[in-house]
Amino acid sequence: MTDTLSILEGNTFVVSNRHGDIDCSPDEPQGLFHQDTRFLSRWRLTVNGERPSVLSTDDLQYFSAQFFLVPSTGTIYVNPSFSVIRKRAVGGGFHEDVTVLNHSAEPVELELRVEASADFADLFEVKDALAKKGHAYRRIEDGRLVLGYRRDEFARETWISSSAPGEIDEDGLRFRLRIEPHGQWNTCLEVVAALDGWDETRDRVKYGHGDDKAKPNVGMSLDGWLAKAPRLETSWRPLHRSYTRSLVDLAALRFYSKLTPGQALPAAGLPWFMAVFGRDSLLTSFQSLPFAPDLAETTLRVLSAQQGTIRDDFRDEEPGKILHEMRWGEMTAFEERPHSPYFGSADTTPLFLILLDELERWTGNGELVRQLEHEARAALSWIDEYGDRDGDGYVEYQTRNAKTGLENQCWKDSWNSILFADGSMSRLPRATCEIQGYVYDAKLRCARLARLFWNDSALAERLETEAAELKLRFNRDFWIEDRQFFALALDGDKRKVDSLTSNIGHLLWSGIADEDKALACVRHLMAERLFSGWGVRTMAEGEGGYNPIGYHLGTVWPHDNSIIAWGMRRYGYRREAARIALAILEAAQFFDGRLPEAFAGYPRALTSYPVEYPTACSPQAWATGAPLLLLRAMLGLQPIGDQLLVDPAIPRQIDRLEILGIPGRWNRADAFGRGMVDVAEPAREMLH
Amino acid sequence: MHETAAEAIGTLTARVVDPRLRRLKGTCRFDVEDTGSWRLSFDEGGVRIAEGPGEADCAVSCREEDLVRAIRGEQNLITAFMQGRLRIRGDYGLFRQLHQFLRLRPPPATPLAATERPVEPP
Repeated sequence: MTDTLSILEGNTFVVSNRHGDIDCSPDEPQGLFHQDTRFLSRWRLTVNGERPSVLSTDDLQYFSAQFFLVPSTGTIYVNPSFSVIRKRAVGGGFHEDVTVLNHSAEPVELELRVEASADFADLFEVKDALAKKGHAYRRIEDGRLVLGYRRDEFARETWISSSAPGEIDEDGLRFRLRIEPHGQWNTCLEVVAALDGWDETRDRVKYGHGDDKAKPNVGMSLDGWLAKAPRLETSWRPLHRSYTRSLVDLAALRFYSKLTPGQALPAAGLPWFMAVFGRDSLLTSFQSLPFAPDLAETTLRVLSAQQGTIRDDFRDEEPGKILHEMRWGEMTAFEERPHSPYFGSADTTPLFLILLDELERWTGNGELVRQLEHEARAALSWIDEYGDRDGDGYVEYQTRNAKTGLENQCWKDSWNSILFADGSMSRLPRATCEIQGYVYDAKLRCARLARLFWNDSALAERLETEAAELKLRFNRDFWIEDRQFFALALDGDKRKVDSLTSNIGHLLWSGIADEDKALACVRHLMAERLFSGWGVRTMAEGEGGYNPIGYHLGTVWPHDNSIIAWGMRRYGYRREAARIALAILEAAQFFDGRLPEAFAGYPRALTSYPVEYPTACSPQAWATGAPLLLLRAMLGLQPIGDQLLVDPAIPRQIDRLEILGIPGRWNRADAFGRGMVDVAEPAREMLH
Repeated sequence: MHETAAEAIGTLTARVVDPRLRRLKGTCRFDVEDTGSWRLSFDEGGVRIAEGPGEADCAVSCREEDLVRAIRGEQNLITAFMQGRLRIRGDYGLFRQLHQFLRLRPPPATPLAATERPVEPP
């Protein structure tokens, strides 16, 4: 479904077309990207001046790919006389093996050309199509082509070289080949992100020629990572594909931040979000807990190490706040963007607390809870002192950086996501409903931690009292009686933002909704206006702002659905949770098991497959985590003391589902279930 | 206002009592171009300063002007590094904590000569 192919390692990645070429316009996200900078914006292979046609393309591992090319003959009656194989591995730049095979009985003479250039665009510049402020240069030295960029002391260089002798000019490399009958010619091409602002100059890439067993940058091989994860057994074959894809992509999306050495955590997504992203890293870690619990610990450690310390309006930083995003590109360096790091999210801080508690419940890692006591207390203080800006008892947001700060600091962070039912814009500051749910949940969870680990029963009682008061207040102030659902937000005028949205599903996860109101919300979530057949839309059909291809205004987000399904299990809506799980997992089949960040909200009856959202990231961490949380929801996995509770509610279509070797405080446990739930049949209580 | 690296570093002796710095432990060395080197040994918010080269967990190379601006609070240490104004070798985690230390300490006091001068815990 996509014309590009991506391979990555940490925050180094290559996005190319299916020829293996990087051939982008200035605002196209193709290229070799490293540390949020494009080190190669053009990489084009031609033979005798022609671009060969694609025979096939494979991404062998998440960090390597190969491309099989043949010359266009224009007719099926003429066999290609030669073929070209490009095999590429990314890491510190990339290594590319190029092989040309002569299939004829005659010698062949060819000219192979690789054109190269680099615009050194910051990812923000790629995204917003901005011009550069420094100057670019090229030079040829020591048998390599150097592409460079400098702005004051900020310098970046790409070094390009080959193992076979060739002619180097400032636009690339040229090889004049003579290949004997049925012979072959090879060269290695090395494209090194040589100057990246970090270490001493890097003079070679990570993987050399024929390095097939290269170890990814995650402390263990991919095989080891997969072997450590629980084993899935199911009679529903598509689930195998989604599960394996999720585990592989999760491994691929992990990366190290040098500012917090030795700890890998999930980045948010390729290509735009290969960065520490507070919200995405936290939610992905939550989704993955039964399968890869190590991610949660590293996420908590990395985010706590960079917790807000002072009030810094440019960065929307406040003491105790958990960061939104960290970037390393030129615009961040020169403080033209605030991401060093940026703190513009109002939900990361309660989500941090939720994950801390959930991790202890799963793994029994009380030592971490003790070590992070100060950070957890600072996060709790942030909620009351800074999160609740006007003292109305709700966390609301409004950037203090009017020029480059984020308009919306909730998960629906596009500028126009918080709309009234008539389509009009709400005013800032905004208190979105799901954030209040997260706060409620965080306070109750921290009450437990305060009693068990921090020896502070007074804090525990205070937090429980505050949570109970918040629940009471929230069910009164956010409820829209005549429409029977919770408002999306209270806006700056304390008006209820009355669009029907998926946010109400997050309230089920948090447990803040009264039982009767939860039932009303579940009815909405499963009704046609919100449920497309492929999943719950971000905004209901019929609302003023609804658009099935609007980023947060009607598309279906797999991670959103996984949270909603898990929330439904909390309130006992087993059939509805199973229905959502099945719909999303069925959708995954159309994306070869890899769920995108979002897909269009068209009704399932209208399109026979889920329509991919035009600019969605893929793989994207919390979409990768969605099948994992859906598995948890279908099997009803819940840690209770030192036991793993299993309470399956599995759609009939899946028939048999087993997850073997689930790690946790019980060491390893197995979970089994049979597909007994008929999701096509609405439960009686769902009928109005 | 301090104008030299020695004066600027001399202002760092004030102990910063803040639980957020409880894990700050190790030695940073500033190698200031055409000026000299200083080692700052941190332990739970306290700092001991020694002039001259020597072993360090993290070495920061920079120009005098950039160091002075960073200590004055006029230049964020992380973005100075991103811009290439500072070069770092060694423990980046310690560098990040140094950044936090500079942000959390009270406003610069009267400059003192930066010589071997341990700060006693309160």
